[in-house]
Amino acid sequence: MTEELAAPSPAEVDVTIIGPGRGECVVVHLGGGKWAIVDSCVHPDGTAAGLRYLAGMGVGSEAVALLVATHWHDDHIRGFSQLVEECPAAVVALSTALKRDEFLTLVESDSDLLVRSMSGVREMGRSIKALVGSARQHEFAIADRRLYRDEANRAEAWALSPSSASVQQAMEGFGELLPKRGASRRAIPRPARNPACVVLFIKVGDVELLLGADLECSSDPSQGWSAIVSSAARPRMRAHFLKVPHHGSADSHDDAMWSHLVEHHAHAGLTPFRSGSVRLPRPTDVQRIATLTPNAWLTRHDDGGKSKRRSRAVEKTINEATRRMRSVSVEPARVTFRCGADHAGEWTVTPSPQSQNLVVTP
Amino acid sequence: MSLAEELSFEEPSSEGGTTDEIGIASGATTRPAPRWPSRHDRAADRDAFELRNQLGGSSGTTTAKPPLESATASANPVALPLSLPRDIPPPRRTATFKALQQFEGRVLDVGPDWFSAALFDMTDEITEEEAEFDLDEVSSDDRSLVVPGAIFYWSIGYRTERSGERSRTSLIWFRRLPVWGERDLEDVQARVAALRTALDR
Repeated sequence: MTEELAAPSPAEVDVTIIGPGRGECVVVHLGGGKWAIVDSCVHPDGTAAGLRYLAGMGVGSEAVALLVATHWHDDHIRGFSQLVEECPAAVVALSTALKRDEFLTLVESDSDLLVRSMSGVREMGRSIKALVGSARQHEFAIADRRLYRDEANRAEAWALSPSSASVQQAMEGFGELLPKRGASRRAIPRPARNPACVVLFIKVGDVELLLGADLECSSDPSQGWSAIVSSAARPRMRAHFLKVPHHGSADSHDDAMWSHLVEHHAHAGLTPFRSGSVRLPRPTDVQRIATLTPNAWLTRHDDGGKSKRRSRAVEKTINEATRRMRSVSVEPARVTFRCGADHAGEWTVTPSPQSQNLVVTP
Repeated sequence: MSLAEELSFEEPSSEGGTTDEIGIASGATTRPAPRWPSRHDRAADRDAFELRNQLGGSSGTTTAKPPLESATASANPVALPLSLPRDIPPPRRTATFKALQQFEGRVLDVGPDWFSAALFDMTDEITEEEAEFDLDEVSSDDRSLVVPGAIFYWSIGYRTERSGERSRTSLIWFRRLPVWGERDLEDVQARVAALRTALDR
């Protein structure tokens, strides 16, 4: 059971990474009792993990000032429409790629398929419709655009991606999924890559945070981490905290990002990703990250996703019919990092029992 | 939705039907029907109405196929006629199936001899799981339907033969969804334009 914390003081920065094994949510205290929630995952009962964390501290959803969906993969978006509906004061920010006709066509072509399981495009569609239905303030994030500013608390949030070239590449990916005359209908599958995700830079007082979303590297210097590192228009930064991109995968590792954008031995948090035979971070990823900083934490290191218990006859048949089966309805684990807004880098860390400090092993 | 749903299997008969048809004993509950798009409901209602007119009203045992949504075999299980005319003898009931567990699945990825899927437990309506199956678990008729995004249903239960012999059974069948037509694509584009206008407002 994860310890419930007291709400931070108005001048205290709180960065909480929540990850159940497949899913990610980052909650940030922007100072003065205002909060940001970046991405979403849910508890087994379906409630959004970000709101649940706030409620555990006695903070209501009206305190959420900024909601960001970094991209539409189902492990980052589960429960996001609930956030849009229940956080009336929040500015909602989405990747600019998601307002393009190509993505809206995916949303509308999927909406007729009445299936019960959740998918990323369906949840993003619900979120967009909740957004327009409530006439809420929203922003479309693109590289080097400020999304939020609160002068009283010296807080601001910037999108560092996607670049124009990345949006164009995303359109090509969407194009492959578009419905075509004569083709069978289907649920929109999750694409393997996500070039148009939103990397965030958040500054509260003197504390700088880099939230890496699922951004991967690219051989094209106008995309991926190269585009961010080389941008002349982004805020100058040396982040004291890094949300490690893409569950620590090797494809998302960029030496220049670590050396130019992040403080030496910065605190870092990451969530695992389990799907089929894919497990991130891999042991080699853990070694690499632990070498870069001794202050990196993984929200959940155990498998944690055992299938629901069923009758013996059903379990025997499941074992015979499947190679493997695991639950994605798992209690999220979290790691909370806190420090004073004027004491950048002096973090206290409160992990869940399932969390792990990444260390170099011989 | 009851777990103890009972389906009965029938032998093919000269009146029609194939070996993969699943017959429903008179008065018994069908397998859970997936929810259907309203536009398709209307098409299915129309097809069912025409079929009902061709067959005429009657009573007796009924047959129903697993959910089919192709343009040529549009069938809403709710809208299908519940009985066959008297002059067609009811199909012979040979086996029953008692479902213990049912899932709705969505194919995530397909390998050379496997596929992975997101599963939604239709029994508790909450639990979501992921599983990896051998392609051999899918009938050869459905194999071509196993592509990312395909929707299928998976039932686990007991099959009881008329002789009384009982066996544990795993049944996977894929939804056959209609193809996109010109009109459908125009409808989608009209909704996209409305959504974009609302977003730009």
